[in-house]
Amino acid sequence: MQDEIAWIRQVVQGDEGAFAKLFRGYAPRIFRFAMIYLNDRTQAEEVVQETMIAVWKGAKNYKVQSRVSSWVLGIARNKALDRARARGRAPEFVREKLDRQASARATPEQLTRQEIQIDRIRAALAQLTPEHREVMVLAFYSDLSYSEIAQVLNCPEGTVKSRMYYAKEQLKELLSLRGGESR
Amino acid sequence: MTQNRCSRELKELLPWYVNETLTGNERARVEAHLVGCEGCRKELKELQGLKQLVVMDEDVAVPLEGLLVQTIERIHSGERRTIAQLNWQLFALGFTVGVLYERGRFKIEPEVEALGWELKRRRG
Repeated sequence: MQDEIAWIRQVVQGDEGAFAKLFRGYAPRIFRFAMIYLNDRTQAEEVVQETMIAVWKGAKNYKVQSRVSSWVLGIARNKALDRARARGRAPEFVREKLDRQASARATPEQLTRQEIQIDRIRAALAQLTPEHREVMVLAFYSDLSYSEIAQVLNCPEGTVKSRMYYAKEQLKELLSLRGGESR
Repeated sequence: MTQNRCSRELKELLPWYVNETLTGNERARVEAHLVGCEGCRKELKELQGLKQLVVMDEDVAVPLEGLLVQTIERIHSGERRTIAQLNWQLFALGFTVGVLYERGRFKIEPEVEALGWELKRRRG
């Protein structure tokens, strides 16, 4: 956290080394987050670049009261939503076709137990609404607190907690249903 | 006593207990509750497993270094464009002022004009 704030200050002075450190830390998180809304690798990579350019230009406006992660991911969310709207369709989450094709090609013998489990959770996560999925990704992949997620999503903390609660319940239900089907 | 009552409020804190972002006070409340609540301990294990799976599922390789180089290049080209635009705007402004002055449509304040003539005279 302190490091990140120091890097932001260095970015204000035009330090590309500090910018590279921020970039390496945030690019995978921004990419994953953008995929929720865009489901397109090229577009998600564009969001990474646009977000980080906005970070470079806007570093002087960063307020220490908010965490760097909330600030950066908040920018990323706006960029991703803008792109989703520009594409003329409501943000929706659809799994990457490649992932589906890969798992469809594999025979049960080829899949290890772990792969089967990942495939199950992947299918269940894909069925969550974007609102539920983004909370889950921000909490479990980006390790943000509920208050930070509320800042990123621009919604009350109570909404974040309740979305997570329902996402988890829905996921449990989906997984138990799928587990039952496979038996 | 209250800590062992399984409230939704406490259950809603569990995901953030798992990602270790609760405040000290919240963490202490959750831990005190977990001691006496088997249901929440089970829920906690499920959430820990879920977190691992989400990380595995989401952990897709991103071409970091290539993207970084492209981004820095875009920043530089944006800055070059801004400077070029500024230079062009200054040139256009100067040119317009020059043309208007030459054609007499642009009046300079008499005092400034007199100062200009005075400077010219002194230089000989």
